[in-house]
Amino acid sequence: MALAGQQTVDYPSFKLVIVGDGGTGKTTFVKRHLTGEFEKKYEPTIGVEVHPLDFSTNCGKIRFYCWDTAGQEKFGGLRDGYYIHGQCAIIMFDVTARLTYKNVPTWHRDLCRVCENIPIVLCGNKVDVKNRQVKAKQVTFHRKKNLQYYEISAKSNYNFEKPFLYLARKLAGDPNLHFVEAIALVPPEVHIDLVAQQQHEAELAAAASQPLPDDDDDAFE
Amino acid sequence: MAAGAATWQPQEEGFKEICGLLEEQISPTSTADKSQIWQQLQHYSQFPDFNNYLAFILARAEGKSIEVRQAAGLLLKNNLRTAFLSMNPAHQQYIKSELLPCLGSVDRHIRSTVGTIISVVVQIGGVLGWPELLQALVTCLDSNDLNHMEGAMDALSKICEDIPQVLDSNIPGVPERPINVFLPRLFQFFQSPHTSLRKLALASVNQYIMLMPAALYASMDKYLQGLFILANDSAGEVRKLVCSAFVQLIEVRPDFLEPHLRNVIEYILQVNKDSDDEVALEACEFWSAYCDAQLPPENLREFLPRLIPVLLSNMAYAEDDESLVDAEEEDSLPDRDQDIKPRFHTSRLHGSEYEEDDDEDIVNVWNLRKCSAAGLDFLSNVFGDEILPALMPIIQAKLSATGDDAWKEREAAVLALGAVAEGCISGLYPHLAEIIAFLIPLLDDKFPLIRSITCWTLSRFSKYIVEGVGHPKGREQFEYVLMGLLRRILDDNKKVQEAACSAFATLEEEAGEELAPKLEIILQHLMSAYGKYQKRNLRIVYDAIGTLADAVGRELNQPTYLKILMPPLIAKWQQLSDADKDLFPLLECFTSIALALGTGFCQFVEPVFERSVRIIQIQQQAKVDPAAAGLQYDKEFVVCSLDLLSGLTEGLGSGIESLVSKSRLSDLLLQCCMDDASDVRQSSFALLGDLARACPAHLHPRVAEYLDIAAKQLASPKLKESLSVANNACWAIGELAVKIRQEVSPVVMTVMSCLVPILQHAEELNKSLVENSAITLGRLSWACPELVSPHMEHFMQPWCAALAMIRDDIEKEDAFRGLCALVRANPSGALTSLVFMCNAIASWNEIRSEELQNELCQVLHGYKQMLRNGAWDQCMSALEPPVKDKLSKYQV
Repeated sequence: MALAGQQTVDYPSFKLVIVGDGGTGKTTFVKRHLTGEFEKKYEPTIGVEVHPLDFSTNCGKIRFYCWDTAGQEKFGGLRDGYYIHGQCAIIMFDVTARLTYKNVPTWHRDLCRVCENIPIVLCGNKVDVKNRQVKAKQVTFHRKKNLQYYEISAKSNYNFEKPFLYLARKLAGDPNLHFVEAIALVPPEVHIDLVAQQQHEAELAAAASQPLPDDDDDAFE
Repeated sequence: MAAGAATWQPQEEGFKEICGLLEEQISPTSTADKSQIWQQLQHYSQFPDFNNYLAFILARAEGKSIEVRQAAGLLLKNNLRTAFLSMNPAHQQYIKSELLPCLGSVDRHIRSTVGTIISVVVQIGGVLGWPELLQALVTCLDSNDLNHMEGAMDALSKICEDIPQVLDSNIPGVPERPINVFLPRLFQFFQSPHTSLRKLALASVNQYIMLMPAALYASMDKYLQGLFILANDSAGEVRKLVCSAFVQLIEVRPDFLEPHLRNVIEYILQVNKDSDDEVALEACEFWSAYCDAQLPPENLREFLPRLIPVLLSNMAYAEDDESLVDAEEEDSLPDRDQDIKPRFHTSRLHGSEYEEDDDEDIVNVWNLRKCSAAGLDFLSNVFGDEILPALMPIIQAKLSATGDDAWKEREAAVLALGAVAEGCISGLYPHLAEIIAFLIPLLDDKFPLIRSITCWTLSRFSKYIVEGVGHPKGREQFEYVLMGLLRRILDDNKKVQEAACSAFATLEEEAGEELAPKLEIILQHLMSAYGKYQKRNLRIVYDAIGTLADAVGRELNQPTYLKILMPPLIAKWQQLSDADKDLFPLLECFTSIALALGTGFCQFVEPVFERSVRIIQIQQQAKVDPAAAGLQYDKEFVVCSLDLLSGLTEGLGSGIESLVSKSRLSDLLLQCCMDDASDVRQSSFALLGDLARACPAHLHPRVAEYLDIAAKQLASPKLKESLSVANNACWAIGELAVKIRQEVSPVVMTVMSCLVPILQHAEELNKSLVENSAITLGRLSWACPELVSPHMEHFMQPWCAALAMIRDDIEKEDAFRGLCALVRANPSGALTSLVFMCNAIASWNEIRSEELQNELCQVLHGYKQMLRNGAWDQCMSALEPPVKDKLSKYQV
């Protein structure tokens, strides 16, 4: 650890930076993990919130300090200032909002300019929504930049562990590392959150009104 | 440099405060709420010289930690993005003057932060807005001091990445385009002893491949020479950039590489084996890029014997491949929520299929193994059988490698066979029996990943395996494969179960009714898997059962088979509550079974029908009042239930009548047709059409309402947003029209005025909608010719053009009955469209209805009689010869 005092636990801990456009589900995602106490109401992140998430592996316990950064421009705080000393990262986009995928290269670039050569996972969130705008085939960014890609659903918990497991293996340099205890997760949401749904629809409408190039694959490169 | 400009001075207190707040913002241990600290920082940002403080901290706060200085710099950059242009010019100048000396800072992080800021400032203010910058960069680059060179190179490379075009433009007052000045220096750095400089310089030039400024064009030889010098660089990052340059060049400017192609290929071949995986992966992209660019295969041909072994050896699983660990998962472990991918039901659509979303799981993992397999696949498509002499001996050798250590080799060989299955099929075909005989035992290999890849590779040959069933040998092999896959469906490993089910589904689709003699044993296996599988794979069994039902149809309707198939499904059906989402795949599965069994489904239909109606009813109640219904509304239940009812109706035909008559379906369906969710409406109109076919009498009391709401779906503002709804609504109107005849008349004009524009814009709309529109227009014409015929001139041409595209079936017969009725009512209405009409009539391969055949004959002869003045002969001579041939049977 480069910063004195960061290690507040007696097992290895890592700074994990989570970035991506506003509304892609970064906060919801980290809050699925029930280690800490989180407030439950839905509001945009201001600046950053740091959540320590613990995982038990066959090589012992590890902790990710998850720096859940604000996606919305106006609440961005230090933005890439929060990436300093990041040891691994997750870039999140929303498969139901094309614009959030188009912005992935910018998040990636800003991240790499502060943290060189750290393991990064690209996550396409909200695969639980029926009409996705970014099809799996169109997701090619990770190929060019050697990122790992997972489709996830913060709502149903689909693939929740995968990004953490990948990062833990990379950081430990052990491809056989695995989690040994089930992580307590918030149970999948069974009802439709009408407020979130409406907000999502409003965002979609806003995204749809953005002038975008044609729907072809080139638009995603 | 510009030291004199620093007249602004910070206040000590402000400086300390801001540093303190920044420190807390980035501190990992600070327990304070970061958003609160951010608000305090915001307070300072109100001061007009706040950004000066940030610049000062970045550049001069020597006593502070690097992190704080870096954070100040990044915050400064973010602020400049929005505020730079509106800033006080003196402050702008101060900030710039503080930045430039930092290019040579002794700390790498400070240099890099400054580079990032500089690129943003240039992005906003242009090169012209910062005249000192170019000279400062050049001075640093030429300084021979590593820090200065690296700092300038860092800034330059970021400008090249973010705004390359800016350096390739004319700038007033600057004699040359900046790129002309920088390019020779970048080339020079290719030979720097410092890795960082070589890397940044090469990355910068690579940014210009797409843009291809005159300066780079003119020095292409120098660039290529540089690439070859860097080709064997000691740093993997540099070699990777060399590969990436070649891949980009082959994609966009292959002509530049042509004179050097042999050397390039030779090189790529070599680094394709690089010990650095990222270099090898980048190199591997070259082969697909080459094939994709459709360059002459000859240049690659002579390398095949060396390339193919490299690809094959890279296809073996790498040690850190996630699949290796995943394959060890115990099958007894129940699947967790996070293992289960959300899945969706697709509403029924009447007509030509849309392109299906193919299953996507595999494409998302990208590594050397996948890239090499994709490369081999590409090569097999370009070279076909030509690659076999180089490929087969290696595959054979790898397959016969024995011992546990060699399992990855064997696995890669099986993968390779699957990868070339399409491209090389003609060469493999004569040996297919041997190949398959070789693969079958691998289905029982000790290593799960060999078992699963063998399932996949066998499925890639399913078409040919099925083709062979004509001879006893082929039949025998088909059965071996079938039994082998069934065995694997009952494998203890979840990944193998998955691969086997999906391979089996492919075989099912290929084999169709050939599966009939094996139904009993197939069902035994599938139902045994149904009892054994965990949640995730259970869905795949449902799919396999559904696909089986689709494939064998009525063959399934045998008491022995139903005794195996139905009891477990019914038990599950009874066990699940009406609000359990696990019902979805079961509802879908019943839909396929009902369609396959037809009237054979009678014995099961009553509870299924009643429950489907009940689910719709409960959900509609839940939509209005969730508390009273005791559950949250979820439209997916409605859609699945509607689709199952459609399946039952289509399968049982008029056999459904008594159930409909004693249910509230007709009322419920009308509500569903008015739902605001398009997928609910889509399935509703599909069911409406099926009910119109099977038992129109029960729709009768509300038919005017149904027609009215269906017609509304075709109105243009709604049309584009939900084409599939319009498609089904259009079809349902046609089905109703042929049953209720004259009673359709109130909506004929409305519907016709919607259908005609669709036919006129056929090219912009999907095929299914156009076909259904043409058929419905024909059916309306048949039901009410007197209403439609006065308008014939407006639509005959696009209508006939659309009719000509439809394949022979009952619906097409109806449409042509309408055509005949119109012509009888208004013969002159078709006079200007005779050629189109003849083409449409000639589109029939065979008209099964003798009566229709006679009617068409009369139509043609009618016109021949009417146009004895030579106009008929003129029309006939305008027809294409094949059309004339087709019409000859009418003797006109």
